[in-house]
Amino acid sequence: MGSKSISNSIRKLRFNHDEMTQQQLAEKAGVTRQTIIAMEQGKYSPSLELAFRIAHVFGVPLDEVFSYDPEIKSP
Amino acid sequence: MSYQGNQTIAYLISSLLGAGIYSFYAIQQYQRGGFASTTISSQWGTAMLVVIGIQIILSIVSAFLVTILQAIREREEKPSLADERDQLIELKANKIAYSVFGIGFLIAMITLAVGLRPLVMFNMLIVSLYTAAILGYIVQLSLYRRGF
Repeated sequence: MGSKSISNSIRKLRFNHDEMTQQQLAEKAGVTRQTIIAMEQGKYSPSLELAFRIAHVFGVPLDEVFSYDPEIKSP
Repeated sequence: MSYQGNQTIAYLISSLLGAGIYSFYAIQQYQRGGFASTTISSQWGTAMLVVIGIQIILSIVSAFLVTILQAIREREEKPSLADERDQLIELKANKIAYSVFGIGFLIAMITLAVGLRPLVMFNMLIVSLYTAAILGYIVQLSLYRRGF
């Protein structure tokens, strides 16, 4: 499983942005819907560039989308 | 399952079929004593080319079928881009496939060096080629389903 030490609030942010669909977010961030699904399920940690693109789509700082917990060790 | 996952399954099945067809031919040749020859006849090359041809057709047909089925069942179109996750998964799968083929190639050269017939080396190369491809697809499928 991916780095669980990195979690995200993509699902919540989508909901708060007029219930944006995964497809809409995927198109705005330039990735496939499957990648958004994988990120929401904690199965994929995006690159720094994609993380910034997603934060830009929501118009929030990066740390409002992604958070890092050093206590949880990545496998 | 996602389009990419189903596509990988389709390629995996076509590789397994290709390996099966070649194995069937090789076993038949073995039973007829074809492995006793000290040279590799053009027949083996032709057989391999035919199998590759069949496999290419199978891959095209399966890719076509997956696109249609995915559109009907999941209402999901073929992704217009391969994003960073797809590329990363492909890279990881390729790394495994290249390593497996490398080991197979080494074993094939060892068979030649220890004086076994060239046909053994030829078939070892084919076996490692298919094993590498099949393992690569399995890794790819596992990464799509399990995540990383």
